[in-house]
Amino acid sequence: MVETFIAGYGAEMLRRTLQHISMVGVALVLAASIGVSLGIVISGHERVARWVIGAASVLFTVPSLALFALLVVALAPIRQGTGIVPAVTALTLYSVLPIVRNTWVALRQVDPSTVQAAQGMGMTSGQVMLRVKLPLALPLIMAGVRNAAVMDVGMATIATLIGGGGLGYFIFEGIARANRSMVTAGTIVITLLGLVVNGGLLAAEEALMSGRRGLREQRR
Amino acid sequence: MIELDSVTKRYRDKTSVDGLSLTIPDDAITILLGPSGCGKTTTLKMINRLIEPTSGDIRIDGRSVFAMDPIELRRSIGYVIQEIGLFPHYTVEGNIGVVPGLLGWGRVRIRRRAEELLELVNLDPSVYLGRWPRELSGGESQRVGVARALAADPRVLLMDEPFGAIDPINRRSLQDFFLRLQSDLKRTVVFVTHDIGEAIKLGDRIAIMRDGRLVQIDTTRALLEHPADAFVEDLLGATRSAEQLLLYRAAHYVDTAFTVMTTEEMRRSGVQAQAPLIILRDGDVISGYVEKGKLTTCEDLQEAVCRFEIVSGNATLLEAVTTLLESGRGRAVVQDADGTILGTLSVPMVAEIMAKVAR
Amino acid sequence: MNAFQYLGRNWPEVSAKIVQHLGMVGIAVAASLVVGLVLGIVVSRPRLQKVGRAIVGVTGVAQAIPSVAVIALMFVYTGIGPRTAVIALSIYGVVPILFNVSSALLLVPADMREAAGGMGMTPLQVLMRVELPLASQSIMAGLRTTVTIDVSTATVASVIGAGGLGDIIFVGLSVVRPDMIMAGTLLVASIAILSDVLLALLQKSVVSRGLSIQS
Repeated sequence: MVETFIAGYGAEMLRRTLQHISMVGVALVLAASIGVSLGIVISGHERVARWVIGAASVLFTVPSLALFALLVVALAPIRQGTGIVPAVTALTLYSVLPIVRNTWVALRQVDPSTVQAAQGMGMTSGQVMLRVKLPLALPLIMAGVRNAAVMDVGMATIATLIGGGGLGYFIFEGIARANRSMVTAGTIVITLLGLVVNGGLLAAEEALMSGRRGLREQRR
Repeated sequence: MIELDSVTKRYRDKTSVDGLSLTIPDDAITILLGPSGCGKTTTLKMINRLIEPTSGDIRIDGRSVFAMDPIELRRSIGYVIQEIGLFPHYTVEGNIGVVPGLLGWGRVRIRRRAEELLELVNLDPSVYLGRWPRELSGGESQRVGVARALAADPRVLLMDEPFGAIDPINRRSLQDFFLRLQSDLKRTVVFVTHDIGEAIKLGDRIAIMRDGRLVQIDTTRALLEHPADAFVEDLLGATRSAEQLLLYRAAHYVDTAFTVMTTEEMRRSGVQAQAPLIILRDGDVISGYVEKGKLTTCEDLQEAVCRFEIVSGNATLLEAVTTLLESGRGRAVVQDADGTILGTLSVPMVAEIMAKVAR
Repeated sequence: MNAFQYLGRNWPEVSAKIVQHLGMVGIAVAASLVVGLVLGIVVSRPRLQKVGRAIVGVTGVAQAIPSVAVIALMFVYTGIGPRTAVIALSIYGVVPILFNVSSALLLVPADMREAAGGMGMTPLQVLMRVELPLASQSIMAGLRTTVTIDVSTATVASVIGAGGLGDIIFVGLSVVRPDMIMAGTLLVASIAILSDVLLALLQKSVVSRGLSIQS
């Protein structure tokens, strides 16, 4: 049964896996850029920060299907209502919260005396951010990116419903056709993908950390 | 009185306490002192049954602690630990009120008790009742910890290196504060420490432990003058330097050969006094002292009366000597918190003590 | 027709779907909370701490499994309908709660437990008056996560015939009726945001002020 499944759907599964990964990948890159930049910008301003994080939290609470559907309606006028665009947009919007929040918290937690030492040595604030604060905040930021990545893998499953492709196809088509093996296959692959992404990013974090022993304790 | 009777605690790979027999007297501070791993903390925790001994008995006022419900036992004993252990999710009032709450006291009674105790530990209730533990400094936290332990008015206080986590400067004032408290409250205190200076400063009696056994239990002075073996000598050895000696409590070294008389009595019958030294007290006021010998040689009795300094019983020898030297007086009269005269000290006396102990 | 008109015209059916949705989420959250809390307490007891740490590891990883996958998998075994959704949500919802409860309880400092025991609290009292309050911040966070996930996943569960507000959105998507899509979206989003706000208020009142990070 497994052989027939692979024979029948093997190629399709591969194709959709790649679709899935690329959706998530693009969304992550976008969200990371936006999230980290936003996090840096608000790290100096307490009140603004609370607003931004509050807004992002609200966005985060909205159910994924609702957000996808909302974007379908919102982007329909410019003919981008279905397909990859609303899917990736939704994923990006979701991923921003964990990344912004972690960036902001991580930057706040940098030891003020370290920052003062850097300033005392004559670094500009830009240099302090780039050479001192960000490197120290990196572990927590990466944890936020990793969280977002795992979440995205799950959420991208729904993208298929609005024409975005991806592995969700197997699940939803399988349900519609009452085809158990499709559903099971889709579920297993998505779960595996989630675990692999999590494990892979964890390993990357570890590799980064091994070059900086003293930062191990900061990882969440 | 707390009696430990052949108490043993054996773990799979080591014997932590080995046949320990010890009597802890009432209303005094008994220190359990020794290097780490000697079993002092284990012993302490067996008294309130946080650890159950492998064999032996522990009796408080004649009743075995094993005949009591352990929970009730613990509610009747005050317990202070090094990490302070204040509950961060309760205010100061909430923390102090924990055991009373467990005992079913009403809220009003608990609040009044908390106010009372805060004043006792020198923290203003109107400021501190509603504070949260994270808002307190180390010294303040530990005082609240002591107040908490005293909340249900226990006879016995168990303290496990309570000032160990405090910085040295605050530790000294906490120790002084505790001594003053104890002279007011007079509880039976069992105090674990590995700091010899602290043991000498606070202890009425010190029980020295090693490898789970009792090596010697005695007053500070007796330990210094007659150490049981080389281990005790070495342990206290570091404290025999002149500076360390001066940490000892004045009250332990006073010359107790004196009589108290009123000025009138002295005039009339001072020459027949038993002791060589007469301290003149009229009512509450100590007006001077007279050496009996001088009574016969001086024409004018007034000349014989010498002035003095008063030193508190909790003061260290260092403080007594400093007072004497600064004032230029011959003697200091050492007085207890409630006015009892403990004895006298003079600079030559202190020098002699130092010489004797330093051998 | 716009979203509000749609809601107005079809209120009976819509309100039925709201009730369905809330019902599914409610039951699942309650089940997850009970199981997660009890299990979390059990595995954080001193003797079982090794098990506890393993559980924290497992649930940490399990959070990487997409919620949709769990629904789909359950469908394979128990078919269509709200019952499948509730079972799947209950099981999946245990993970964040169990993770937070066990990790928070394992983090309670040993000296705090010792001080409490030394003062004469029974083990139950230590749990209720010290350990759980200290872990309350984390537990509430886990509860909020579970509720958010459940509201969201229940929406998607409509594809396996579970009912709920997802129906409105899905139908709207397939017949391309923006008013339906917006109506469903607005409702679901409102429910999600509202429940999170309510839980945040609950969190504020339950968690002792002495524990907050900010003064």
